[in-house]
Amino acid sequence: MRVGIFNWLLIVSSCAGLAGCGASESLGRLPIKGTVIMDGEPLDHGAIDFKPQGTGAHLVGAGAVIEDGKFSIPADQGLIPGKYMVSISAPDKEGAGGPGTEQSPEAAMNSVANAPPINERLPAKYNATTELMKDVTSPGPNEFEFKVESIKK
Amino acid sequence: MWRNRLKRGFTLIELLVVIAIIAVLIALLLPAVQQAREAARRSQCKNNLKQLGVALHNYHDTMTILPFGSHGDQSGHTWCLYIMPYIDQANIYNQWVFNCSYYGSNAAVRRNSVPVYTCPSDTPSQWWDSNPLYNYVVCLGTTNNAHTSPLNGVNWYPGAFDVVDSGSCGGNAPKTYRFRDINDGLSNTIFMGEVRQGPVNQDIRGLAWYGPFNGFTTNIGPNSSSPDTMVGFCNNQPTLGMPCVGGTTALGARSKHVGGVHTVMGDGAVRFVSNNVNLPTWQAISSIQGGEVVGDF
Repeated sequence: MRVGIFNWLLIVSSCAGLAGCGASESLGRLPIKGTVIMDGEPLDHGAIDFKPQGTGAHLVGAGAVIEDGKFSIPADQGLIPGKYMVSISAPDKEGAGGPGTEQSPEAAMNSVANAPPINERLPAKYNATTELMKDVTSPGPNEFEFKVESIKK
Repeated sequence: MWRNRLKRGFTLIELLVVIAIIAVLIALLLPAVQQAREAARRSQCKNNLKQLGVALHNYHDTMTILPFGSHGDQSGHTWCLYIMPYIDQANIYNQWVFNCSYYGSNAAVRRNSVPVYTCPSDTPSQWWDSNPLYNYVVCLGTTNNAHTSPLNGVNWYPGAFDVVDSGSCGGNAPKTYRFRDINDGLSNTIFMGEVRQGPVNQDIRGLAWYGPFNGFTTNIGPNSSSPDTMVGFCNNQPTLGMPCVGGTTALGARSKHVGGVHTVMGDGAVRFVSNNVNLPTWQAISSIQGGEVVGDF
C-alpha cells in the first residue's frame, strides 16, 4: 500500500500541473465602441483608428470600420487603458471592383488601375494631422461620440 | 527469499493507480496532438519565409542591390518576379516577357502558383478564379504606398522596399536599397512579413504580384482591428479578421496564426511578432533609416 499512496501523490501533483496551463497572458484589452456624426448625420462609411500616446512597454493601437455612424472594437482586439490619438477618415467611395462586379480578370485589373481617385471627405485635422485625443479607462464603459464637419464644397 | 518475491503480485489498487496515471498522461498529450497539424503548418510557413529571406540575400549577392517592391501597377515588376531565380523558379522568370504588362503571354506565367509564396496555415484562395494569392509581402515602411506623412499621426519612414503603385512601369522608378543603406542594422529591420489571402472571392488582398498589394506597412499593428486601406476590391470582413476600407493602399500584417505574425529580418532571422507588440517598436523595426533604439520585441 505504501507504493499506492506514493502514486496517488503523483496523480494529485500532475493534476495541479495541468490546472496551471490554463491561464494565458493577456494585456487586459478593453472593448471600445461609439458613434461618429458628420455634419449632424451619422457617418455612412468610414474608418476610425486609435494610436497609443506616451510611453510604455506594450502600447497597442486598434480601429474599426464605421458603418451608419457606429463602430465597435471587440475586447480581444481592443485597447488597454491610456491616452490615444484618434483619427477618423471618410473616403467618398469604396474604390473599384468589389462584391458583385462581373468582369474578366484583365478588365478587373484595369478597373483598379483606371478607377477615379478616392477622396477624403473629412479635413486633415481629423485624420492626417489629427488632434483628437481620448482616454481609455478601466473598467469603462469606453463609449465615445465624435462630431465632425466635412470639407465644405 | 526467492519464493517470497514470486508470491508478491500487484494489488488491485496498484493496478488502478497505474491506469489512472496513464489516463492523466493521455489527457495531457491529447490536446498537443490536436494542435500538431497546425504546429506543423506554422513551421512550414516559417520555413517558407526563411527561404524568401535567403533568396533576397542571394539576390543582393548577385545584383549588389535589393529588388524594389513594385514598379507600376500592372507591369508585373514586383519583387515576386525578381527573386524567382533564387527560389528555384528560374523557368517562370525566363518565360516572362519584360514588356511592362501582365497580359498576353505573361497572363499564363503569372497564373503559375508558387508554393513557397504561400503559408499553409492560410486557406488557399484565388482572385478571379485564376490568379493565385500569396501570403508573403515586403515591408514598405510606416504609413502607406503613397508615403503619406503624417498618416493617422504617424510620420513616414521608408522600409527596405519601395513601391510606385500606379502607371505601368512608366514615370518615376521606385527606390532600391543596398544593405549598406540600412543604417538601423539588418537585424533590426523587417524585410518581409505575412498577409492573409482575401477570404472571399474578389477580395484582392494577397495578390502580391499586383503593384499596390506587393507589400505591407506598419501604420497598424499585426492582426489589427484597424482596417486595411485599399484602392479597390475591398471586401470588408471584420468578423473574419479582415477589415478594409477604400483609400490609398496600406495593408497591415495579418496571419491565421494565434497571437501574431511571422516576419523575416534583414539578417535572415525569422521572428514571430506578437499582436501585442509595442506599436512604436513595430514601426521602428520597419524603417531602414529611422535611427530608433529598438528594445526587445
